[in-house]
Amino acid sequence: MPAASRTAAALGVAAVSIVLVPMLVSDFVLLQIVIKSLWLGIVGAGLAFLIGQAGILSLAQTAVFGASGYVMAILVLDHGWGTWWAVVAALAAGPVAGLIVGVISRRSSGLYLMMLTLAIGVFVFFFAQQYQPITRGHTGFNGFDAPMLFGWDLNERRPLFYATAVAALAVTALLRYVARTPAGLAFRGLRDNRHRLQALGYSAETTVVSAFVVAGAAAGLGGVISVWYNGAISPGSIDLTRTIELLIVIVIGGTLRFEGAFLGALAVTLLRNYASDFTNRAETLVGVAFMAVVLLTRHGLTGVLIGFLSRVRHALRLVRGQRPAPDQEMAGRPVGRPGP
Amino acid sequence: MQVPYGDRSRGAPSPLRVETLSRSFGGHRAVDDVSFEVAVGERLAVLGPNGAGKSTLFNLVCGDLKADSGRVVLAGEDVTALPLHHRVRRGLARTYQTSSVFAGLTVSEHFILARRGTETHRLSLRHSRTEHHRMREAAAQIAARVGLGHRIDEIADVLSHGERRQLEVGMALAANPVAILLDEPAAGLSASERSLLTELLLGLDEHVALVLVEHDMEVALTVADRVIVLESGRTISSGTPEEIEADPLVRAVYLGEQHGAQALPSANSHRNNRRD
Ligand SMILES: Nc1ncnc2c1ncn2[C@@H]1O[C@H](COP(=O)(O)OP(=O)(O)O)[C@@H](O)[C@H]1O
Ligand SMILES: [Mg+2]
Repeated sequence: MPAASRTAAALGVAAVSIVLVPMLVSDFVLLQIVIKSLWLGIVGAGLAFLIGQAGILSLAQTAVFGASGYVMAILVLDHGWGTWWAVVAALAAGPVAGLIVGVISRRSSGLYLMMLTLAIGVFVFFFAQQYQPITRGHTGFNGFDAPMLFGWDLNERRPLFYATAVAALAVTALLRYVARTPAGLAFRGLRDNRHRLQALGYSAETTVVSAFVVAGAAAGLGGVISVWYNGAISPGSIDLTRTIELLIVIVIGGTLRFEGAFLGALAVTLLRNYASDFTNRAETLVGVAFMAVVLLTRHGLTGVLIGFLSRVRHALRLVRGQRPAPDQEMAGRPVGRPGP
Repeated sequence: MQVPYGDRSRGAPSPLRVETLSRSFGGHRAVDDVSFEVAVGERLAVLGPNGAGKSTLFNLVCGDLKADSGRVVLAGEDVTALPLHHRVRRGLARTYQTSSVFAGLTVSEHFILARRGTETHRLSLRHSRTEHHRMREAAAQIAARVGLGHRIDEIADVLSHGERRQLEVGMALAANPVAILLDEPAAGLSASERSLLTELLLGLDEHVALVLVEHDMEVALTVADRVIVLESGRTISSGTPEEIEADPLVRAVYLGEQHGAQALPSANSHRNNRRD
């Protein structure tokens, strides 16, 4: 199938499922599972892009996402901004915060970059907790009313679901688009061989900053949705447990494709909600699932899914009596179990 | 044949001039007061035993390492103070002795990345279909030239050692450089890959200057117009391949190291293969 019609087909499937999902699931599931995993997936997709495409293991993505959420809450609740202007400012705050984190960590990579971004994340958390005049300290902002959109109240489940689903599609489209641009190729060059990228004329530092800006754009959208969904934002929304939660989402989903973040978010959200039916140690179960995925797969659930699909395709070809074609699905990175 | 300067280049600054470069590692002078210049279209071979400082010289020229003293002048501009990527943007391309590639990128993506590296839209956030097709086509041409035409959509991770060497050379060509530095491009290649590489180097654009480090004398002496020989970081000899071959000092260095006359074969026998 040519790329254009495949995109059209994917969009069609997405549109139909978006319309159908609220009719098929209960209100509880819609709110606690579907919307929650969509916004977690939106934030996760930005980080999965950063890690999987650019090889940048940032621990400051929660801070970037928090910056956007805080900007919206502060502007509306403390400065009386119109809610849509605040949304615009919050959407801009994401890439700007990404830019700042990127500029600070542009020279580092690997473990050192992790430590540096961890420090940034911790700093932002303490700033939110202790700089009361701006952030209202550890209580943060409560009672945020989501706006009306085309006559729909986004405080209602279904409208919020539609808005979140469209945001998730927008983030996916944005990151997919960026992956095809010259910058997208440079990000993958940075991931595979930072020094060689420089030897081809690229500034590794500018490339790092650009990747942070792109991931920041996704986090910005996630921040807006998060405040609409929770009606609140506080230091608890951006503390270390949130950072770890996000990492779990991404590792379970797999970074081979950034879309895996949505799969990971869904898995984590489902476990959280339904594990409590048969154990009172739901978090432990999440931990067990995390370990299992890390031990058994190399590219998380996406890796498993892609491997499965390619095997199905291979089998279908054999059934139809065609010669097996080289696997296009794997282009990008080898898929498989971890090496010895 | 021995006219390194064509009419077109008269009066133009030389693509690459290196003046009295030196670099020490903890008291050991790896490169010691080395100077050379390549003219437009000239092919210069740098010979010397292992550890002579050839790779270090390349590192100093391209900016991977900082020189203790000396200057690098690229197309008339002093680039000594510029970092690696700025020198590359001004037309310097190099390969590494140990293949340095992008494991997850396809062959074609390597060449596209290299081509864009010297253009201003290298980090553009706009995807243009026409630009992409143009790049794919250019990449396909490079791939055919370096013998990777049939591997264009493979990721580097699955390429053989020899194919990675070809990928390195292809990246250098893709950047449309004014000067190319190749660090032992034939190392580990099969005989047929080697002759393909020789063909390729002989057929290089005539306004590209080439500096070649090569252990394989057959490749080096067939391609080179001029040779300099390094030993312990110093230039011990320079001249045409014929002169170098006749130089007793060079023979001593080579015979001393490699115990065999075939280490420095007759330059004439190879130059007969040369395509003029
Ligand atoms: N980064 C480095 N640190 C310390 N010593 C080095 C470094 N790079 C090269 N050298 C030393 O410099 C000398 C020249 O090395 P090199 O340039 O790789 O030689 P060649 O390429 O001619 O074989 C060797 O003695 C080597 O050990
Ligand atoms: Mg060397």
